[in-house]
Amino acid sequence: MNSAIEVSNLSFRYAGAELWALQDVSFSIGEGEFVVFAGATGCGKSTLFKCLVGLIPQMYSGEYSGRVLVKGLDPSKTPVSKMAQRVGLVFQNPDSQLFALTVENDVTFALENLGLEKSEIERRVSKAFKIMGIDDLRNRSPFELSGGQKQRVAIASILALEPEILILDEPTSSLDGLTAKKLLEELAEIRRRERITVLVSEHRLDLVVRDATRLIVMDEGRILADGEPREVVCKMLKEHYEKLELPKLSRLAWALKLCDGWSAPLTREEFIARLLGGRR
Amino acid sequence: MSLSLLQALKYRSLDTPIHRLDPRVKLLASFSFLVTALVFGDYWGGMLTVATTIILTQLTILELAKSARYLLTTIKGATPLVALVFILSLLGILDSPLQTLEILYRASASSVRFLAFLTSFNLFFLTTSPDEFGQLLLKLKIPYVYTFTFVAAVRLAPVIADEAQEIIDAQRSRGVEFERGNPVKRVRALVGIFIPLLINSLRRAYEMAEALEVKCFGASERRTSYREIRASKRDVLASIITISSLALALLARGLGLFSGLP
Amino acid sequence: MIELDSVWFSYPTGTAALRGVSLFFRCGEIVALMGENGAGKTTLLKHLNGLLKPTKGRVTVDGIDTRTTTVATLSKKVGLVFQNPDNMFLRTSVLEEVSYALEQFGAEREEARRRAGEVLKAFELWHYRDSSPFTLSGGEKKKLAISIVMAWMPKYIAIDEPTSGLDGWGKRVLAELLLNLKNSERGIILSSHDVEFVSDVATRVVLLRKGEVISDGAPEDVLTEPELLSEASLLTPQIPSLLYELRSRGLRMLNHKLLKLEEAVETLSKLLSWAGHTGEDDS
Ligand SMILES: Nc1ncnc2c1ncn2[C@@H]1O[C@H](COP(=O)(O)OP(=O)(O)OP(=O)(O)O)[C@@H](O)[C@H]1O
Ligand SMILES: Nc1ncnc2c1ncn2[C@@H]1O[C@H](COP(=O)(O)OP(=O)(O)OP(=O)(O)O)[C@@H](O)[C@H]1O
Ligand SMILES: [Mg+2]
Ligand SMILES: [Mg+2]
Repeated sequence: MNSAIEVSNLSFRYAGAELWALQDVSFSIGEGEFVVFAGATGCGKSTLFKCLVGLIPQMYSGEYSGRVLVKGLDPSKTPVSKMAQRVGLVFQNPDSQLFALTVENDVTFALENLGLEKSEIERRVSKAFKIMGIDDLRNRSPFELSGGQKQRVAIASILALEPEILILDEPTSSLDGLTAKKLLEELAEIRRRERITVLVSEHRLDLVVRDATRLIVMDEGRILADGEPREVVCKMLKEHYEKLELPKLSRLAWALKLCDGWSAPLTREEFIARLLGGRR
Repeated sequence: MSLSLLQALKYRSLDTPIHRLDPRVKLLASFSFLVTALVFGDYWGGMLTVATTIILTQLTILELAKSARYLLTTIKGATPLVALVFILSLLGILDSPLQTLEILYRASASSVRFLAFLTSFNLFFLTTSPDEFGQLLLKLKIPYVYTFTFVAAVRLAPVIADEAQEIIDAQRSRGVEFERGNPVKRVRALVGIFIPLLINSLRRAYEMAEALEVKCFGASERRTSYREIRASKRDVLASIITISSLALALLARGLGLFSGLP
Repeated sequence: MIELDSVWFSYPTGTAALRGVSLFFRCGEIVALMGENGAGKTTLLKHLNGLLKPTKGRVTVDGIDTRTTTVATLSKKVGLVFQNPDNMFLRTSVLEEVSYALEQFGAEREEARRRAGEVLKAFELWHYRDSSPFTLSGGEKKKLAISIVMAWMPKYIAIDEPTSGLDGWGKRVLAELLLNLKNSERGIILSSHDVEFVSDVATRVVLLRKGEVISDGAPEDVLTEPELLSEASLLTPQIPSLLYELRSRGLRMLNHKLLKLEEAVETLSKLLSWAGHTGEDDS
């Protein structure tokens, strides 16, 4: 498998901060993987994502060391706007990402910057609008929307870029349940269809982890666990790691001793299979 | 005062025939108002008549754009300035051997002309969105970076206005009284929003710079426009009307047709 | 008691965000407002401390019409945590941020700082007391926003999306704080999409859709109805969803109106031991 992202010994400390936000982080992600980053508040997820597109160290001052390669490019040296053509990042706070006067313009802006033809812009915009269900907001001002509506627009504007690597920082934090589910299914679908690489950070694992190929748990700027989601969840249950919110079903399975020592069920179907089959 | 003046110039997204006109036509119209007010500069050469006509014409057009009241707000906001012009012109001609009536006429004519002057671009600003304005600048072959800087500044304005409202709400929700109490206290409360507003505006500007980067700003040499402005038949018609009115005005002025008129 | 009496509200842009909402919130309750993005939750919460006033209808807090008083006065009684924490921050340090409101409400400076320190420690933010609020991570900002309001202990606390950005540990701390507040007879009103958190803490759930109340009842009744929930664009919590599915596969004796993990553990272990017995009998 070719690797899409190579991170070796990456450390970063924000200027003026006492603690290191990232400490000696190393991992590599192959093309077409769907990786979920989880971990307690302040463990460094957003910092890591900013490093992957080059916002860190280019727009944040601090101490930076280590080596990062994303699609063969070094984000600490390549202009962010060039990185962004290949690596789309949705910010954690949608308010910081929106600035156009209309929702439509917020989504077309990046596409215009790429110099795309009108018909191509039209195609991408309507697709992204459909996925996020925001057709009726098209001519509204992004500042006059509800929190979740803003988040939908922010995600749509990056989906429309159709990047090779898609990074979403807590994309479902303000979305209603059905929209969150639809987004995650859509991500899984475009990953399968177009072989793009998807990185998502989340606190609520129940929704996101079912389609993920890999779960990375971070803790105080380091990687604590990395592997197949069912196995990592089981490991966290075994170690009574309290900082994460593990899916209730996995916890239920643990309490009922339905985990087979190394892997925990994540979805309802997996749970039922173990309940009705495994135990007897 | 200054705040209401700016408020009155703020673009409001409405859907009227005037708003739909090509911004170039509106720029031309506003420009014509300015030029006409400029060339009719002689007392008793139609100065008052022309200036009044300009203001009334603009009011009529803005009425079609459902925005006439914003022009009135500007006029109201500009009263102190206009009064100043009036007084200054009075002072300037007071010791001349003119009759009182003549002096009063001249001072009023100058003031109204000044007002026509001042408001000439209201039509353009009130009905052209910053994005259209940006595209207009592009059509006028101004490099994208400058255009963008301008548009970004204009875009930041509503963000900051929004931010100011949020700060006031945050303070009120934590017991800072804005709605009641003596004027001194209220002014103190208002002053209290400035520092957070300054900090937050800088932060927002910074966030916007980050957002621009991840939205590939400047990534390609050749930028395209999704909603390109394109002149329609109506626009052509509107420009013909504007240009001929301007030409007629210039002709009238050149031939001295209005001489003797107030 | 906070009472909304056929409240209508439209934004200046013309969007009708609330359409005839009648509700009451009592002390000793934890009410969760839930519903689709844009359903009107934030708009409703902003009515509780008077930031927004109804276009039509009336909101009263302990009998006082919000139109007859000021936000500053009301806020002492009704604390509101905004959906986006960034919009709450006014000061240059985390500690100041929390003590600021306490001082506004009349506490002495030293007392305010002491109290602020306590709240910050509860949320493990003490370490950041001298940092600028804007340099915190997303979840830390959310915790700070909640701490600000918890500090002055208002009689009613309204929190817009309390769990967005919080980790598992933060949610447990918050749940405990909320339950304590409820037991000390305060009224808590939340807006949330987090069905799991709401299952754990709420005493009442109100579903909103397009500015109208479509359901109002006990969590066991509302959060266990998949069809009703999907009308409000919500997903069914994991446990009732599992029990529901098991029932539809023939285990009809299961009660699907359970929300809590412990209850599910109990029910299912009974099922398993019973199945274990019959399994042994078979062999
Ligand atoms: N701009 C900044 N300046 C200084 N310190 C910062 C800044 N941004 C984040 N930090 C600190 O760096 C650490 C990591 O923050 P980061 O935002 O990466 O966490 P996170 O994992 O994304 O958390 P969350 O889940 O809460 O969003 C935190 O301790 C935070 O306080
Ligand atoms: N400042 C505003 N100006 C105009 N319309 C607004 C404004 N804020 C919200 N709206 C609109 O009012 C409606 C209700 O919004 P509200 O913020 O109350 O929704 P919400 O239930 O909190 O949604 P979310 O779950 O996304 O936070 C939405 O249609 C929204 O677009
Ligand atoms: Mg983060
Ligand atoms: Mg909301």
